[in-house]
Amino acid sequence: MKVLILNCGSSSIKYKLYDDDQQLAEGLLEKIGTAEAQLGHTVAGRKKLVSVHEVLEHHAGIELILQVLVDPEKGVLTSIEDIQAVGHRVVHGAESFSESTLITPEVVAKIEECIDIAPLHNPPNLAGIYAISELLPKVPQVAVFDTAFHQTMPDKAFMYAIPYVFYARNHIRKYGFHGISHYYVSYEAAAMLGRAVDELKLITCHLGNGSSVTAVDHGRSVDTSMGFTPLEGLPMGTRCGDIDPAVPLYIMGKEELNLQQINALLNKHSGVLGISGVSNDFRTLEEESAKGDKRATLALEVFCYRLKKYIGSYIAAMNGADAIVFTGGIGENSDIVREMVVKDMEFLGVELDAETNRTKKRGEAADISKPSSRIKVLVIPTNEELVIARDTRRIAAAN
Amino acid sequence: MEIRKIAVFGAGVMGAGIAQDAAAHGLEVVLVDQTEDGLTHARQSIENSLNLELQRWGITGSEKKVLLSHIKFTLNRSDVGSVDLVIEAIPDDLAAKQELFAQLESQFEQMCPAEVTYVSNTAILPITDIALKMVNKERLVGMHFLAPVPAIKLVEMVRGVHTSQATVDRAKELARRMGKTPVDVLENPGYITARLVVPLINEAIMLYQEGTASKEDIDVAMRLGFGFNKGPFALADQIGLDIVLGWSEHLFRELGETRYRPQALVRNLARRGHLGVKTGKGFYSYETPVDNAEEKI
Repeated sequence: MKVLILNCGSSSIKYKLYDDDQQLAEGLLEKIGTAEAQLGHTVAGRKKLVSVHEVLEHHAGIELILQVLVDPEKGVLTSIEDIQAVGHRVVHGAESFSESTLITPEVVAKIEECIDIAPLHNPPNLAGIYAISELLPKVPQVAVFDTAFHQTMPDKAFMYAIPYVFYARNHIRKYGFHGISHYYVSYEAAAMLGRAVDELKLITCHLGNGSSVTAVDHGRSVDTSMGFTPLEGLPMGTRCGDIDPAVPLYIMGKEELNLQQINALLNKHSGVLGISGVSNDFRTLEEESAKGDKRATLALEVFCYRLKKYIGSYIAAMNGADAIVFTGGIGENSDIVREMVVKDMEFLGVELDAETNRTKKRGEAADISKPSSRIKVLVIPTNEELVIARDTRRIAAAN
Repeated sequence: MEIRKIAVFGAGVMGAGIAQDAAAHGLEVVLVDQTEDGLTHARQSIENSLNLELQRWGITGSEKKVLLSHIKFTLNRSDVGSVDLVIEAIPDDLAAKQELFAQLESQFEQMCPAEVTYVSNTAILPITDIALKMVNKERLVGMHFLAPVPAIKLVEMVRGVHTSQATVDRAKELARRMGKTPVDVLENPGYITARLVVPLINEAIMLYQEGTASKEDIDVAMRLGFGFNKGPFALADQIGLDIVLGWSEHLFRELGETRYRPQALVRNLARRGHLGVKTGKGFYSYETPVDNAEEKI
């Protein structure tokens, strides 16, 4: 079954076309809303093609992507009718969606209701859904939510200790994000360990420009570090992560900052960029740290220390763990970060094989712990689009 | 059709502010002025304002670059191309505005595929009079933005006799797109804001000159006593004393009431070039704007 996967951001659309589990084409359309939108399109086994177009909104962007996919030279499809289902990554499903779902008018209405708590992410996701409804009206569409996997969290994990009325009235609670990735790597980890996911306790660390860590107990998310928004939890590239909530209030008063300014300060100027003053890119931080930049070193240390604390707390929460999984750009590629996080945890039964950690090939899954390690340390490349493709196929076929 | 591209004529404080704020809300903007100096000054003032925002953590360096890339600065009207809406922000001189709109109309009616909406940013003049030399008078509406445009979330929507509802709706769409709340007013002198603020500032000056209270205490009293964001003296400095003077002269002439009469103190300060925040000195003194905050980040 040929399935198109769309991930619509505010000014970009990422897409992948699958035939069952085989990827046929992928691409990224950037700078939507301008006359210089750039499309990078790659067909498996061929050279990447880059072109510039006037693309003023998502509808036109998706129209362009569909044209490219059926183009006799650039494309991989003979007809647009070959697309049998479309899967959308949707960031926020709030408490309405605990699993992927066929998109119906009722589902669209519920995703629209979530705009209030995901004002940046859900509108472009919806724009993609509206566009496909018009361009491919007969094709079933499936929504796969970033929050759905975490809907299994118990209320003691998701409730904030503020007046209950804000949960009841405004739906303020921990939701968690990166659910598709945490779900994927927990199943892959089970496969690597040769066991069923429902007999394992796992801690999955998705470390990228945004980072989150999840406690996966018997295949279910029972706690995760991101919260009501992706700002909570680990420090990230430019986000502050966990912080005393009095700090922003104090800064606002002291510096006379308004809401928009403090919001940008915490989301765009903080994290490892804020500490180091150098970069939000971990590769740059590692290079600068190696050259002796103390604040770059400090930024890495803060990041790794916080993650170590999360791992410790999740081991306590689950009463043990079978494996710690690293994924995402940093988790998959930074042996320095992995080593800083899991070293000196022998007491808990974590023993890193430093050599394997360093020499592991890029892009490949690996067990980087010693054979004697009671808690395994795994590196697993994530593949969120594959999850979306599989869910889309399964749900479209059943309907 | 969605408003995507606008042209702003006049690159003074208001024109530059409107251009900056429109670009910040994702619109393509062409800012046109008659002099190279005017454009250079506008670009500098937009950069200063963005640097200040950068220093206040409100935006990032890359967001500043993106925003600037959405504003085209030009001396040449023919560079504007096709636009959805045109805003005039030249000084409040009726004859000059009438002439400008007549010229703009003849230019854009040929060039633009869809109907163009014309907007005057006048603070005091009647829209009906400004539209005098236009053919499509129903397409002119007043939008009175207040300075500093990016910070003030209000725009007064001013209708003339001929202004159509479609034109008002279109201009309100722009206002909302820019995060502003529009309020409807008729084209009576001073609309809401100037009409109410001029007597307040005048009365504050009289209180001060009588020796009833200091400028600082008058401002504190109005801020804390009545929840004003700024007291009347700080407010006058923010509006610009040349503007306050212009408003009072106009209102005094049109309405004849002494409460609008221009105050000698304002006239004297304005004559010396002490125009308030924008020149660094008015009723109060202000630090000069930061030139390059980016390096500190």
